[in-house]
Amino acid sequence: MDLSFLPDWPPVWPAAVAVAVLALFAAAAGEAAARWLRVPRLLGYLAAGAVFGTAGYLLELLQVEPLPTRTLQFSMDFAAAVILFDLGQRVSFGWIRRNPALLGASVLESALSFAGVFAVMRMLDFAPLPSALIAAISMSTSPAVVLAVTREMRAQGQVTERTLLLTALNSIYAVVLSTLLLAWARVETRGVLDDFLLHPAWLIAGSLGLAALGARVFLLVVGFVGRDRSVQILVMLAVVWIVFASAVALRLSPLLALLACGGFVRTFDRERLLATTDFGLASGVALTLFFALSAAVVDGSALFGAWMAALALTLVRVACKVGAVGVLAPLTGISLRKGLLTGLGLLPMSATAIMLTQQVSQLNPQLGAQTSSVLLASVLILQVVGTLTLMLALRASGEARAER
Amino acid sequence: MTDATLDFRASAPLTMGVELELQLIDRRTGDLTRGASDLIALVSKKPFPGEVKPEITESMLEISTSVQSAYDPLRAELLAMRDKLVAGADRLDLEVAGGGSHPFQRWQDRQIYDRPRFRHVAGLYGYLAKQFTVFGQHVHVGCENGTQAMCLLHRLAPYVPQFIALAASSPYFQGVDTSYDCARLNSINAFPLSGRAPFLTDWAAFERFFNKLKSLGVVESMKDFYWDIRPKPEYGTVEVRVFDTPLTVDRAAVLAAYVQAICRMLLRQPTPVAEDIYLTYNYNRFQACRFGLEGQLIDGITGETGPVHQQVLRTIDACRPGASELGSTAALDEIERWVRSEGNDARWQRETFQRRHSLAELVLKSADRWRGTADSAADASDTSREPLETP
Repeated sequence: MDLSFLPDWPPVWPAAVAVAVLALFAAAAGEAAARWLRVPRLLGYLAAGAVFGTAGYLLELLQVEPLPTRTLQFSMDFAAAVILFDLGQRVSFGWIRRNPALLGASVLESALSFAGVFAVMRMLDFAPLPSALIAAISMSTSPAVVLAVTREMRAQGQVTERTLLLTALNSIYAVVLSTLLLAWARVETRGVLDDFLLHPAWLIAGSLGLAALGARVFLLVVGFVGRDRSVQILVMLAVVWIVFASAVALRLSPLLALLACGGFVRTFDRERLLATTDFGLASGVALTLFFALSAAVVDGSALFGAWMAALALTLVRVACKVGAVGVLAPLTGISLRKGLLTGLGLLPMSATAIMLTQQVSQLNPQLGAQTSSVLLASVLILQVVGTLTLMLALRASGEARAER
Repeated sequence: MTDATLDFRASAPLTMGVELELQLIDRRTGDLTRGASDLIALVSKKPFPGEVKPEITESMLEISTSVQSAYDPLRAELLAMRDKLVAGADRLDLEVAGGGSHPFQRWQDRQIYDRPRFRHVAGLYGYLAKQFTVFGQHVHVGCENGTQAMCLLHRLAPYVPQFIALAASSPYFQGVDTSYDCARLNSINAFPLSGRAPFLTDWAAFERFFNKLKSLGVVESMKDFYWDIRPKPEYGTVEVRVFDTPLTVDRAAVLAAYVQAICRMLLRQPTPVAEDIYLTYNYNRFQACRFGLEGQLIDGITGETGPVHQQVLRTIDACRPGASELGSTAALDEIERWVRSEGNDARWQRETFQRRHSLAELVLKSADRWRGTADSAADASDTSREPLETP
């Protein structure tokens, strides 16, 4: 009997199937979180990812099947790219021209967070450079959490819009500052000053140039193909893919390039093509995958991380962000209460912060190791806590759509 | 239950005030957005000319002028309010726009403003309350007493089609071209106490009517009447409510001056009021909503027929002598210009949509118009349109 038509045993699946299986679990877990716990779906996605990652880890220990970490990581990076582009085009950067006090509030909350976290890290006996890097990265609010929660709650209003704007801005500051610090680290180890500004200059100018180019291409093609929504989404995914891949290939910052690309798309859009464009669908898929994957690939050793330091970081970051945005609220045209709620909206951290640490680890493994244990633990705390405070802030401000 | 008296506060005849319901717009999508309470709080920090109040949903607000007696100061006050509002909206990244309806908002997305009266209305009327997200201009004209107000109310009724057609700015509703110039009144027609006021011509009779309905539990206050024209005893005015909010404050001021000029004419040459004017009232009202200035009207008393624009031009001629005394000749010239060449806002909206093929774009262009900064190139092309047929 010729049984050669039967598959090999065990059958061989492409690694990417893991992503699909995880997506199924995540979809169900997200609904469960929303239906039974009345919390944002992303907490369900994270839970699904964590279970999946743990299961994969066990299978790997039992030498059954290794988790295709590279595939998962790549899918996650691409999902993050889509999210960043979406945030960039969603945020109204022109607003800071019409209300300059907002830029002041943004700079103050980031500067205070940096100073506060830096001081705490120094008190906990971290060396100056790792302290500064941790502080720089913890300035940033998670774009993914903020987009996911505001979209899911269909939030509209000042707290929502300001949270989105301040998130985009503090993410940009974090990229720029961490790059400067990395460059400084190289100067310290090698003692040459001349490339201190060269790397940041390349990174910032290159990323912005790439972003502007991507935005022009996007608008050109979208302007040509018209208002068919599915084609618009396809064009968006294609441009995001190209900008992301180019940023990686050219050793630029994908985060900065994609955020700026979204922002430029909106700025250059004189014909207001975007007014009728809604990337909600693509962005929703990307967000689901991003959270599930980020929890699946989390390094198990993070659980033995620097919990005390992370807790201290969390507390001081809460105080700085809420305090700064609250105090400046009346100057920016809203009430103190809404300012404080906006501050609470800025608390989430997520894997985008981890992606920044990965950049550090690649360029400077020793520094990467020193910073990542604190940051991973902080992300684990603030991803959940921050999601909940953002949800509560949107509810308390009356900006969330009434739940059914 | 004893009958309460409905005191009519006397006010100086022919003084006027304007209320405008406005839309709050998201800069990116052109959709309605929440922000009324934040914008009101912000502009109220500094002295605001007139008054700014919340309306039934968070994406609406209402501004009202102080009591004015002439067109120029009224227009100046409206412009000052507009500028303050736009400056505040800029700081909050919002746009403010006129227009009787939002072209594509979905009423399901609206959130009722958190005040007891609005919650009561929402509870009573259900989805109607949210579909009621339409935007009107109300013009108050001062009266010496309630009886004068009731007479003026009925004598203004034949002019209602003109008012509707001149102000019409709600051709698009829920994402479609309704084919009406003023679709807004169709939303209001769904309410049980809308349409024309009952034919009562003295104040005592009106008081008895009101108290009867109140004791029957049909109404609680004058606010429950959504009539086209209603008396407003606490202000001492007659309130004309059929105007869509125009796309500019300039138009709002012109419309108010037009009502004032007509009222002056009516008060100077008292003719008896007859209920027969209402024989064709609903028909004429429909014609004006549906066809705007091209609507065909039938006079309920003389049986005469003719288009709205013809009636407007006749009315302007009849008002001119009084208008020059009131200082509103410029306003009448402006209305004549609309009728002879520019048309109403509904026409601008349809033409803008035909050029841009996007309702979102139409809303954002309307917001530019509200600001008074619509680009001059577009304005030039607007005025080069062919004139309406006029006799």
